[in-house]
Amino acid sequence: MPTPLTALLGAVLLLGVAWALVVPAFQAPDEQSHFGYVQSLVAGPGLPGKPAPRPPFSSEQSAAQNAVNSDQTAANLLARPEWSIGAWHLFQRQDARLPARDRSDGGGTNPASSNPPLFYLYDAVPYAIASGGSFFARLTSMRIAAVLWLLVTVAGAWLLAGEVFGRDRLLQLVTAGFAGLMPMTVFVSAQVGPDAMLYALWSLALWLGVRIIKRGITPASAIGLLGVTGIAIVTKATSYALVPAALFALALGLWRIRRERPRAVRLGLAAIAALAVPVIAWAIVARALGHAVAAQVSGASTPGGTNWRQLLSYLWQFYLPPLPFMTDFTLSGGGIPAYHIWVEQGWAAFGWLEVRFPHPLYPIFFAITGFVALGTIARLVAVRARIDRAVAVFLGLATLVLLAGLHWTDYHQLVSGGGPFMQGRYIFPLVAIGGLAVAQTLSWLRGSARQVGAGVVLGGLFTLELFSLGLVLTRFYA
Amino acid sequence: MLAFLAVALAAGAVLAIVGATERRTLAFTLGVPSYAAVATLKPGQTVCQEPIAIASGFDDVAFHVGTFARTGQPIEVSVLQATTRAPLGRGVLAAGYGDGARPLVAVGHVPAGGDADVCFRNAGTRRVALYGGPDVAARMSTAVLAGKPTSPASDLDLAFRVAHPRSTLALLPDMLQRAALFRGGWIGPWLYWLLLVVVLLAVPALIVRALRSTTDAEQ
Repeated sequence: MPTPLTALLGAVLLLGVAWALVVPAFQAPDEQSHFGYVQSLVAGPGLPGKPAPRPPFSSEQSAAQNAVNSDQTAANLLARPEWSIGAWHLFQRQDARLPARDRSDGGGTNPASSNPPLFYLYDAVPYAIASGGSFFARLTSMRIAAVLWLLVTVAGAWLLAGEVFGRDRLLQLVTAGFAGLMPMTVFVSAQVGPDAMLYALWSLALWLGVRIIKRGITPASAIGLLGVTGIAIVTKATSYALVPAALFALALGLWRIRRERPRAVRLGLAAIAALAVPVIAWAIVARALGHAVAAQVSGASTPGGTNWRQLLSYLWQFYLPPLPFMTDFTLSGGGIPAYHIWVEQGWAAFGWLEVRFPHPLYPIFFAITGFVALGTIARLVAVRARIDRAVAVFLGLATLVLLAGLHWTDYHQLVSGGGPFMQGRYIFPLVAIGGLAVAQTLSWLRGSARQVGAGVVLGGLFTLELFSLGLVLTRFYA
Repeated sequence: MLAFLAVALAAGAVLAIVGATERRTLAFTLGVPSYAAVATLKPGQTVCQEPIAIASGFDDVAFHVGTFARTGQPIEVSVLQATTRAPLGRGVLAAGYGDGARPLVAVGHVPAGGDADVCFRNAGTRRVALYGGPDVAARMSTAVLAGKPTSPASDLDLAFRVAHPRSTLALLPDMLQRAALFRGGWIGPWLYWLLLVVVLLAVPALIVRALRSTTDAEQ
């Protein structure tokens, strides 16, 4: 393994463990639901989502949530988690005495119960290994196991940049460093939930797609790309958005070997099978057990049809101020939603989104985002003759389809009265592409100036990590 | 590499300055949000939150009080040793505060350790209400009105503050001790001190190593 990647992975692992140990239990979005899913798988009654009167969480988990004061503290800056050593010791004594049935009487419907099961099966392993320990020992083990996926995200971003920039180690380091050092990515990846695995699988899929386009299709890359896409779908249904880009890369790869027709057919069928096997297997299991196959996707479908004009108006108002003739969508408490969601929540909104830096810092984050975006566009224009258009289409397709899916769901949830859906972390599956953009901007520089630029980028990310960890420490423990 | 080190060192320096200059008065809190008025006190009535483990010494008690849109009535605040009921601290909130106020009442210094009951007596002539939430936030403590738990069972929204603010840096040992609770049984504050060193030293060292390796590769 290249030394820069090894060193970066070491740094990211340490930061990931720090985040896993600093954030109080269940002070990350829906973490209690994700934990409940795993506990339901391991201790019973199986896949969660059982109808009422089954409670969403086991007696043990409810007692733990009360003990650490998690429900009161969530999104409430005035409340704190439990600080009393006495309360901690009391919980440990009570937890040790709980009968086994108090771990298996959950499994009802919760916000995560409609998710596909792959990540939860993965996190069931550390849960089971630590099952002799206290409730919170299991939670901590599960968090640390989730951090390992962040390392895959970093490696995927490194490999992707290697294909795009032709093994320019510095640009690879910047791309992977962005993916692994952005505090929000680390924060989300260090909690119990499928997002860490989702980011990792998307990063791998993006690398494999670009590899097929740049180097030609092979059995390993074709089956790898579609297989990773299939696995991503049974990790989180958001990953259906990856299918068009994956099929594009596959189709292009097969088109280029069209003269070897039998081989192309064999490769195509094998790749499609790699996609279909996990998805169909999950569908069969889910149907047999009466579980939703892809609740997020079916939940966003619209039996009554879509008001396209209204959808366009929503899209406009998400990114720009409303025009006088538009019906006002109150999307995020005033202002431009894209700023509140992509910039504020994308850069730094920890806990249940309530832990943020002082407001004046966010325009600076916006300026940095704008600078990188403009720098990337300008660079792409400058080197347009050398751009591999197929790679651009592949990466663009993955980005646009994810955004389209998110906006489709957000819009339909809003008009159905379900409240806003969108959150900044939902675009983190594209974190490797974000890293490419930063590296692309840096590629304006040459020689030692580029080294300095890379140092400033990684130094800035490390600074943000330090301040973010400090922010979270003071919010919950000071 | 030098650029990284310059940025990282500057960040560390700024963090140290912020930590040394930022002042905090919170000693500890029960972590109870104010959902509703949980105890209405008629003149002369007392409500106590009991028992409260005194995690850190304090000088002031902050609470959330309603006046039913009238002028606020005087409230006596007492801190009593939980088992002996010996007084540990006492203060009075003068009349005249507004509805929904969050006053801070000085009770004298109460040292850390042991359990205490914190009581509020309506010393005025009209009713007042104390705010709080359901009896789940403070595990071992509950609000008791006229000798019985409030119905429904609830906790008062209380915070305990020190008269002399401490810097965030001075609070760091307490913060790390609090962070180490509700983790694995073997996890203690020592691990957080180790993590602090690792994040401040090992992480930047590894990033420097990564940057230096790319330079070597280019050369």
